[in-house]
Amino acid sequence: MASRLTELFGASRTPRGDVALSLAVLALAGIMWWQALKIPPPFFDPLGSAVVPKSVAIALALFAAIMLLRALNARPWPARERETGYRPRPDIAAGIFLLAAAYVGAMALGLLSFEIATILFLAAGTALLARFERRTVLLGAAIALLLGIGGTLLFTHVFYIDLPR
Amino acid sequence: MVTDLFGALAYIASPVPFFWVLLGTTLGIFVGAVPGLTGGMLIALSIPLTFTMNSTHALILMVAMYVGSVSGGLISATLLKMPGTPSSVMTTFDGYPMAARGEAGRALGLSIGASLVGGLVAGVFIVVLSVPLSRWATTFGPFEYFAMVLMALVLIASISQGSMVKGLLAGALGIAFALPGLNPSDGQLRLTFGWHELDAGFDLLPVLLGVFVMSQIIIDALEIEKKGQPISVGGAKVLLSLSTWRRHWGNLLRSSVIGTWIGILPGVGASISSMVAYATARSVSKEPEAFGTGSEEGIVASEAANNANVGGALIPLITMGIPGSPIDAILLGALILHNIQPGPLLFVNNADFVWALIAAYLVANILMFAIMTLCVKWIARLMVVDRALLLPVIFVACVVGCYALHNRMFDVWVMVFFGLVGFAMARCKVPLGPFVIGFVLAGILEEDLRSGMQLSDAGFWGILDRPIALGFIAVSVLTLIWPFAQSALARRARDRRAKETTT
Repeated sequence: MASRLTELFGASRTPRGDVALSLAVLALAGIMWWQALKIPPPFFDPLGSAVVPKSVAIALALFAAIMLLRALNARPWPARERETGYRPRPDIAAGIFLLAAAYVGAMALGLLSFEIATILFLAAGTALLARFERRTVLLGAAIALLLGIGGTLLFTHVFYIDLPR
Repeated sequence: MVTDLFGALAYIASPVPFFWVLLGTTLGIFVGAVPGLTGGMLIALSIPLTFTMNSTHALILMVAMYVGSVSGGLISATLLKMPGTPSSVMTTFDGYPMAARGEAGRALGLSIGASLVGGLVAGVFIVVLSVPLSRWATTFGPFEYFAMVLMALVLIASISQGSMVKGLLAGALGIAFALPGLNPSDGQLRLTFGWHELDAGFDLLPVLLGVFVMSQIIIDALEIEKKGQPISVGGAKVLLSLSTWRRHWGNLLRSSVIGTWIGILPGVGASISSMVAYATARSVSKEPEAFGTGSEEGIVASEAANNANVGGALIPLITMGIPGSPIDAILLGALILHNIQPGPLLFVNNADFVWALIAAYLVANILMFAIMTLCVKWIARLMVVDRALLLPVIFVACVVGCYALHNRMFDVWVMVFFGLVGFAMARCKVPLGPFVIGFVLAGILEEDLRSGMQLSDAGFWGILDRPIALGFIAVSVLTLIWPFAQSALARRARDRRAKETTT
């Protein structure tokens, strides 16, 4: 049976990620189905509002189940692939994402104006991505000041965007 | 047709439209040349800046960016062994070895010339096919359109890179994220979780900026230490003689037709075109062993096909409103944001606009050739630009673009969320193309299904009376079952061989 399924659907080449993804998609499909059940039946519309969400939830669950099966078929899982030629930096990727979220959050909560938040984000973001290399950090700080002040003037006075204050 | 085309070419040659085409092509080449920055990123970022522009100018700018970005990728592919855009990956196999043995100028010359020919051949197909295809598409009813969109989604998911299940999953996820909000047909709110910001659903722009730009920023940060040592172009001659082109004309034409044809298939990006053209060129070559070691034929095939793909992919977009590639999905979104209704009636209602896009595409190809031939040495210096300085600025531009849409931070959070979704999908090798196209086409799919059911007494089964719609559905089903049938046939053949060996 297992070999039949392996032959039919194949085996995953990225099983670890696929397991995580398929579980997340199964959860999403479950939430969609649960929400679609709350939609009242249609009065005059032949299709109604619930049919498409339910169908998509079934499709998602089906594809996620196949992906999970493909990941399980790939056991024993191969060793993680290592990048050659450079060192991946998940710390910097996570750092820049958190910095971006903090930048947006500070403006959303009204803690900082667009101008100040942008100057801080640009300076800190450049420093992080440059691994705090002195020359780039200084250059980044100068660009941050220029774009923070100049950008605010440009967007508010030329494009008339009401930026967070 | 010819009069319309010449009229549009004259319009593009006038100062303001010409400026936008020139700007778009130049920016596209620059972005294409820098590894880590993509045409999709540039075009998605440009959408908010074009809100105040005339819609024709906005779209010709974006079409020119598209042409420029696909071409610009060849520079880093040749000199840095890093494809500036995914579509240039095949060019690295022969462009870099050729440049490494001191023929950088010739490798670039071949790539640039092949890109021009590929672009122009696809241009001929656009001019010839667009009018009859759009006339044919105007005969479609809702069921035909529903079946065609469904077929497009299945084709996108099946033919896009990676596993078919992941492609289908990506398409379904795109549709899923397009569902929250008010259903216009019966005024029901769905999948909003009582969250009023979601009443209007997820806006297209934050989703596009998230999956194309924000996710790329995270990927670039992850790969921030990935650097290459570019080969210098020096004073090498980039413009090649006619005798060189005479030697390659067959390959040029074949690869351009392959690129155009694959481009017409919905959702299949330029990278697959160049792979197919490259494999075909190798299979018919007298020196297949030279491929991968600096073969001129390999470079010509890859670059002619990926540029032809741009033109090919524009055909379903302008004639039927079906995006031929992920970037076309962004262009489709830009059309909607500029209040231009895509679909078969686009040619009927906005013929001048469509001809202007076609003319801009042709002119952008010629400008691309001129800019790249004259300035390739200077553009090559851009490849080593420090991404640490660029990425934060790009993120700020995304924030402003999303915020300006409705002056609310919710759209910015949506962009950040879809950045994470795009990043997770990229890490799990789930293609982004079907996701974006599913998101863009979901509304049309549901609306046409509903209209078809309302127009037919038999409800959904009214589709059985529509032969064209049935044809589209048959193609979808065949596309879905073909891989399984193929593996079953292969298994049977293997079993038969094994039995024969035993006897």
